[in-house]
Amino acid sequence: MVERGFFLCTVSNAHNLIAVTRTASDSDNVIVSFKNEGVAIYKISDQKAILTWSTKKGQEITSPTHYMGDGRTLITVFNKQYIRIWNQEDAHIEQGKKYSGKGSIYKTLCLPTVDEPVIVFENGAVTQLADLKDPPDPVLYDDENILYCDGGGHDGKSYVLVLSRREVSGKFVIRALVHWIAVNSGSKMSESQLQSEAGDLLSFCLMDKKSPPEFLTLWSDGSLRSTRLTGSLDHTVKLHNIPDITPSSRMCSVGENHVAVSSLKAGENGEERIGLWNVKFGTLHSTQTLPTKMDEDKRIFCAGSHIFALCGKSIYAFPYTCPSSDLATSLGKYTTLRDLKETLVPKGTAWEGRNVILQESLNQNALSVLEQLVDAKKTPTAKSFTSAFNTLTKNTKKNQWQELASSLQMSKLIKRISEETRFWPQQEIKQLVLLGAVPSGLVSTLISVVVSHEDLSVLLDCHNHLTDIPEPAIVQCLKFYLKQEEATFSRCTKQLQQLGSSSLIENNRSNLEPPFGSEKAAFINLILTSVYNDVFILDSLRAIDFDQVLLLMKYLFYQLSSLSAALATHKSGSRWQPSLMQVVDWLSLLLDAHCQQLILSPDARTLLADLHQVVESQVQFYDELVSLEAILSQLKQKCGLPKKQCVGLYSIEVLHIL
Amino acid sequence: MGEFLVHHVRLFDFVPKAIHCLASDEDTQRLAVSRSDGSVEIWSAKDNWFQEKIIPGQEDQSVEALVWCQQRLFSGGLQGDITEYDLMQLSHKGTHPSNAGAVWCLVANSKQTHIAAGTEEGCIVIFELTEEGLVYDKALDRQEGRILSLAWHEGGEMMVSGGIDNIRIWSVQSGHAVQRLTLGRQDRNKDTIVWSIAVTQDFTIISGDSRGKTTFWNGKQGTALKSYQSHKADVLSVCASQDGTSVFASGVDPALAQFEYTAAQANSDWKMWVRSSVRNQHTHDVRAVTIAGDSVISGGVDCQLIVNKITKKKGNKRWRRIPPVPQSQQLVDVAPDANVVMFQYTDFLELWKLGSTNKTSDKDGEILQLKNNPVKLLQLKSKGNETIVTSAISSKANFVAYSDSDSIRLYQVSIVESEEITPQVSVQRLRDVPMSLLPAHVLCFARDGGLLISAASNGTIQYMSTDKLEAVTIQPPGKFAPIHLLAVSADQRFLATGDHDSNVHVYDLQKQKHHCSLPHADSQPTALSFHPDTGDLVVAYCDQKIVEFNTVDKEYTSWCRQLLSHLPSQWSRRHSKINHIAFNPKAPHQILLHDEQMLCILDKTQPFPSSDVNLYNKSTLHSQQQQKSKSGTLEHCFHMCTRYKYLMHVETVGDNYLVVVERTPSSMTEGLPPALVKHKFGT
Repeated sequence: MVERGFFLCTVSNAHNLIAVTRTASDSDNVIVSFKNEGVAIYKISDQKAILTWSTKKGQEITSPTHYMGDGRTLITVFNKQYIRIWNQEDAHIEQGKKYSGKGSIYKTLCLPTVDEPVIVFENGAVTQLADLKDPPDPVLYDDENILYCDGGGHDGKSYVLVLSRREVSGKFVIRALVHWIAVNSGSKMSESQLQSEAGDLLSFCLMDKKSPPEFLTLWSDGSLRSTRLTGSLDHTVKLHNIPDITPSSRMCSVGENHVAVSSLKAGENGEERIGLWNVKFGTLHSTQTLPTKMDEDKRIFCAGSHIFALCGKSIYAFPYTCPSSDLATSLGKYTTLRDLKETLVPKGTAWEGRNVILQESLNQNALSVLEQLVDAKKTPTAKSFTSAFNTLTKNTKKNQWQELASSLQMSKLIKRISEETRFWPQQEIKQLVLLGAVPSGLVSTLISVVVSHEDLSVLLDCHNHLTDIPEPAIVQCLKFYLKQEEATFSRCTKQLQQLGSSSLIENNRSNLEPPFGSEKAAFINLILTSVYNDVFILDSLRAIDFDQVLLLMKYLFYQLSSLSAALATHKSGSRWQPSLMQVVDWLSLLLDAHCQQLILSPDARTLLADLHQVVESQVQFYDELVSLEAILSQLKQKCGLPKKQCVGLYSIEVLHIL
Repeated sequence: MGEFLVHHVRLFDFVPKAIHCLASDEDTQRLAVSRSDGSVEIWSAKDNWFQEKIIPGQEDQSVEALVWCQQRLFSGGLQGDITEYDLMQLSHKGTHPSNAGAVWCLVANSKQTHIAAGTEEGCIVIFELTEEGLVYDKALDRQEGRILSLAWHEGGEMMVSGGIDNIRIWSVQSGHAVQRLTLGRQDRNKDTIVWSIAVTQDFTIISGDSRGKTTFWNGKQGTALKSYQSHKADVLSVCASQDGTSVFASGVDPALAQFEYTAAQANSDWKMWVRSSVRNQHTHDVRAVTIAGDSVISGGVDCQLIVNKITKKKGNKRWRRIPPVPQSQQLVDVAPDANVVMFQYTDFLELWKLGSTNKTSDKDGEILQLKNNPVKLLQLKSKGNETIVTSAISSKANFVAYSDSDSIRLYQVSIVESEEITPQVSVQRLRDVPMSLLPAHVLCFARDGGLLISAASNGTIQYMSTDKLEAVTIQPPGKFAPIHLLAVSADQRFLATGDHDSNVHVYDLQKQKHHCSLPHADSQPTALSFHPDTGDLVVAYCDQKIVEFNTVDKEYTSWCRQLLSHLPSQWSRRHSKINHIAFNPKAPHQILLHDEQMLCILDKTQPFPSSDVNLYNKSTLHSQQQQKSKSGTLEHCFHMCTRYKYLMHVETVGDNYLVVVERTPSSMTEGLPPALVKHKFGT
């Protein structure tokens, strides 16, 4: 969870900021090092600088300042030439010791098993402070630049990781070099070349707390790759695709399983966001908008329990809490659908007897056909669409449809169908509905499309085969049915009879006239018996027109009067006949949704009066039942288990002596 | 087999009395038990604990101590004198004042010549036993405080007394206290009362006191050997076995603790008193513990005697609880022709009319709806609130008679059924009862109330016709023994008596003399009755034998001989004695027997069971049999019914009806005072 940020300090010039480094042991202080403005130690909770040191003119800090192992001495590099080490009690940096060496220094590091600070030169050499005057041989090529450098400790040894880039024949080659420094033996180096097919290397960070340590690289196509630092460095694994990456995104490691990524794609209002990404599960845990836009430098730093970002001219600190990286917290955070083309995860296995049967993956043919269907250009006419669809159905087995339903391709297909204006693929939609291949998120779009085409037969199939139609879609269908004339419904008589709907007139037990014909009533019944949630449907019901409300109420009233009490069970089995409970529920929903209007309108008066009468008689009936229930429960108690009879002082009994 | 409609009567509020004192006589193997109302019961140990006699108590007399001396029973109470009991006449023989206040304890010396009484004023008074009674011998030195317990050392020279805060050892010869042992106090203000003392042969004194401690003292040195906190409340009674190796103690905390004088390690000469077993059998305070033979008997507020065997024989039943239902006394009498039941309470009689019903049913155990409820007809109080010893009602309920320790009173009762709910009852005393009619131990009416027969207190039989009111006396043959059973044949020709000498005599009433006697049995008879049709006499004995005697032929019937050789072992092992024998007029071949827990029908037409048969599981076997549909191989003549507990009386009335008077154990314990609170786990 990344929370709202607060202002920490101002920076005169964005380029001036070198880094924000953490102090030892997760304390409340951070060191902010500037090029020209010196070094300052800030207390985050107070948002104030507690210690500052300034630099003389001409002296520039070129490496992030950090504490040495003891937590009291600071070290930094000036002008890439010499190193200063001073106590934090010293008022001026000049009071500290000065060490100069040959060659330009890139960065100093403080490693856990090495007493002295480790110095990394710009030519890639890594040495300790003692050997400053006598640097080892250069490691990198002349035209190679260091992109990134960091170090840590693992398994009793310390390491320094250097990422370098050089241009070779127009392409960038990125190399990773790791120097291992053991206490007794010297340093050992291993290197590897990172792949660069994924575009440009955007950002990198070292996951120091992992064991063995890894470093993550973020590429411009959004992929996140990790490389282990032990053994040979060739083992790079692509982890995830971070969506919404911009070319200027940067990341930094936060905790054991998370990285913070800056400059995600702008939200609706165009603000910039930083996100917390779970590396283990590949989910975006949370995002936080920045108060102002960041400048070009999108670097973010992590220190202690805050993430620091330079927004405009100020450094903002964002407190974060790293959630435990487990399945529970990652639930529901997937935003991408699975692309069928990629087979990252092996297909599920089924065990039958002692053999392992691997489920077959989708036929390549089917996949390609699916691609064709999706692409509007490839199947422009109804005919081509139908033929492609038929090939798809031929090539896909029944049990694969569900898997197909949750894929990226199917959602694209539904979207395409809904946007298609040239023809109406009725049969295909019907088949998709019947096969259960419609992804749940897109049910409402599908239904709205069908309603707009006024295709009743498809709607019939939708009601009967789609489970969990969202409430707005239900109300949309309801509005449509109520609006239509009787004649339109008679088109579907045959289909209705096939599906088993019984005629309304047969069920009519009262003397009332049904307000609709039986076909329309059948459709309305389908709505009445569908599954819904009170709260959500109420919101949608408020949007229905008043005359439609009256019409529906008349029908419900008719149902109430005509249903015999024997059907007053919670669920009637059939979808063609709502049970008394369902009728009453819908009545109350309608009354809730249009309460004011019903009271005020004169049209509704007679209807409401009749309704009240019916309800009153029903209440009386049930009151009688209540008293009957009391008597029956008493009888049940008496006829219950035979209790031992208590004999009083005198009784006449039967005795059989065997 | 026997289908009856049962008048299940629980209207009899019989309340047993708490046991106060126990005294056992080794020579005659008898136990004297005194109850809280001052009555004394004599139990026969050799007859498997048969309650022989009950000597009624008197109102102002209390019994605090009992002692046997030369087969004579003495008691002392708060009234300050020592009473001797006439075991033949079941009355007080004579009293001797102690001249020193209330008598708290009595003890006899081992030679059975002298009795010592511990008194309220702190004096030990010694009496000598003579033919006439007790004669004052001497009094030992007076001590401060009352003497609550006494024990006489076997040698006869030394006596130990327990009082308040002290135990004193006395020399009988000099009359002075030789040693004084002081007990500590638990609370500074609370005296330690030594409730009970026992002394063994080697002069180890065992004391039980109000702190709940049982202390062993070396009587010779006057030092305390060992003290056990054996109980949570006062120890009221300790007793030592004959050989001095076992001691039993109990008190308000009803656990019976046993201590033994054993070697702590095997093969060691060094012996000490160790606590061995604890028995939690009583529910309320235990007032007295005594050792009789190889058993220890305890009794207390829960009114039951519990007999524990001391020997460690495995397998045999180690202990037995004797229910407080009277065995030799019939407290309930039934007038079968009038459907009236009479209950005998301590000082009054109650007559109840039984209810009736119209319904019948075939289902076993079903309770039928009453048409008429039972009605209390009459409550007849005894004169001067004297204890009623025995009572009887005629079969048509026209005569009621009872006897206290002074005289017999006879009443004529008329019950007029009226249209209203309660029948009209009128009672008239027949005042012209002759003076020669002595107070009776047992009373009985002959059929229709024509004759009243009594077993008089002097051991003779007296009878009188109720209209002529002339008494006739018949002398029993041989030595007089107290009669406790009486029965008259239906034709009023024969009369049978059973006495404590195990004799059963048959008298001819018309000839007014002794007719014959049954062969002498080893144990006392507990019930006898004449068959209404055949006139045979059926007798049940303490050793569970059942005998049928043909009075005309003066011999056992052949069926009886067969029965005696075929009695199943389960039957013979029973402890409860048959209290009453009744017959079914509809089925003359059936004999109904009952004790306080079981009702049995003996069918003379059915074969005898084998010796090892289980008598009580007939119903389960019957249902199993029905499934297997085998022929009735398990039919034998014993038919048991254990549905009722405790049975006071069972009688047949009318047409296939039974009257069962029951008094449940829970109703008897309801009226008991609260017991010592014991904290149980979880409460």
